[in-house]
Amino acid sequence: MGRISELQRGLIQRDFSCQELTRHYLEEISRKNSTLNAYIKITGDTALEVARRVDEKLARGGQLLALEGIPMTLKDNISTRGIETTCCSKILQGYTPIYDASVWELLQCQNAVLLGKTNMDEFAMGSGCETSCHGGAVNPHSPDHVAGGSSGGGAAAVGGGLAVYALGSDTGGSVRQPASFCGTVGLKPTYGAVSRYGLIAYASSLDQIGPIAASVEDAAAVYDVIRQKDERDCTCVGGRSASGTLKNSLRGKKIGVMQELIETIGGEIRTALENAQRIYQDLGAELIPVTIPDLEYALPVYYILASAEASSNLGRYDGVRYGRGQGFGDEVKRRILLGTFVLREGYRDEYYQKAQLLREKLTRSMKFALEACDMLLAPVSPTAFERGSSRSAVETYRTDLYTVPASLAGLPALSVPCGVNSQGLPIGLQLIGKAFEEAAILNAAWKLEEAFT
Amino acid sequence: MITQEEVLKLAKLANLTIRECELEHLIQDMEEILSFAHLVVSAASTEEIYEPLHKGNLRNDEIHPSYPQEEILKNAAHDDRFFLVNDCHLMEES
Repeated sequence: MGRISELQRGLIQRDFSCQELTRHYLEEISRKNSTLNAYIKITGDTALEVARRVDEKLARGGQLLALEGIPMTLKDNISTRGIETTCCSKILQGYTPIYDASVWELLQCQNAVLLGKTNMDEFAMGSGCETSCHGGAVNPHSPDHVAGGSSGGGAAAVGGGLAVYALGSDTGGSVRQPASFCGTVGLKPTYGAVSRYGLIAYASSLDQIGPIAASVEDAAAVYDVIRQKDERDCTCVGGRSASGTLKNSLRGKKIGVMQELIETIGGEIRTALENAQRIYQDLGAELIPVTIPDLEYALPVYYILASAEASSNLGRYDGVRYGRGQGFGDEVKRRILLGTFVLREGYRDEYYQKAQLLREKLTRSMKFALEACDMLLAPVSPTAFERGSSRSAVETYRTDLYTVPASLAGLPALSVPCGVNSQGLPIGLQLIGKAFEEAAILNAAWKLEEAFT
Repeated sequence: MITQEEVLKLAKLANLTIRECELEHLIQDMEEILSFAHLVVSAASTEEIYEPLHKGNLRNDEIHPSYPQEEILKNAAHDDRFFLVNDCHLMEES
């Protein structure tokens, strides 16, 4: 059962009020946030004000909307009118948006209780949340390990019981990877299913906002609220309903197992994935080995294209409008320099243009594989690494191998817990679906979750 | 191989301030990143036609009311009604 429906039942039955529920989460935050560093801003007063309105509505006998009265968080790159939004970068400190992101507008219509803004890698560039100007978020399962990145704060908040759900953004794995590190469910919707209006841009052809939640049912419920067409984002056509089909049978469904990705992953994760495959077989699904040509180019293609788009998007922080012209961290500087390099005259064709063509080729291979099956199964990432571990930039980039293919192809993908390693760190399983078929992968994830509980 | 001059030139193109003490490390990083990115250059050439997932959602080009000027300039460093061009960059140019 989902946490959201369980809490809403408690609200309806008057087991607790929405203000009591909100206070519980605010107390948890004040108790644990100094360790987890999940929140970088807490909005307790406005949260309690919304909670009071929900209590009044309940007292009048009003019906609750799907996410009404549920305490949640937003990543610090999602614009919130009147609440400072900084992408955890010094360059945006003091910036208070004058408008709301579309997703936040949709959630406010639901009387969502915003507890605060969560920690992230600076401008969403990183895999461990450690490039944040506030320091990294800590894994709720182990204080020595990172929460993952870039949406590490949201995943740590949900995994650590400091929020019911979070919205993050996923460019190359930034929802799925931290969700898997923190033992939560993370969904990156199809490119174009959720509006990016008000999401501070990193790489516009890849960025998508998605939920991080404690259960598949919750992730589907949040997705169903935010998947609306939006005139203010011309790439957003909206998505299809996913909550109604979670419990469907998997009998006869074909799941493609991504061989190259499984072969490169460590032993404990591979064992957990094999166990999950057996569960799927027992549920009547058919497992098909799948190989994707040109998968080895996915990582450099991703880093070339994302950096090129970043160098263009971040050009606006030129000190004229609000930036100070200084204050980017090392990782942001590296990506702006790489982006500038690959777009430079004389290099553009052999790097940027070539990467675009390879992206298209990879996208076709992924779609071709998905013609023979209903979804693809792969690892999400190696398990959480230790905080402060010294790795080179490229060593860090390489851990994104498993999540960037779905990003480049614009396909929906999720991470769902499928076990723990010998250190007690969660292991995630990735399901990649056909475009706009979030419902199919959420259905398969729900079945796996059910088998584990 | 990428030289110090090239890194500084890229930084200038990108309007990035690089401190002297950052430079050596940054050159090493860029060398590593560029050799990683070079896999794309050495890949067999391919002829693909871009085919988007969907046709997008273009709106009509109609004028809608926007935000008041005072609201928009709330985040500007100076509270007059104009943008102030950062003179540091102009000085670097000269």
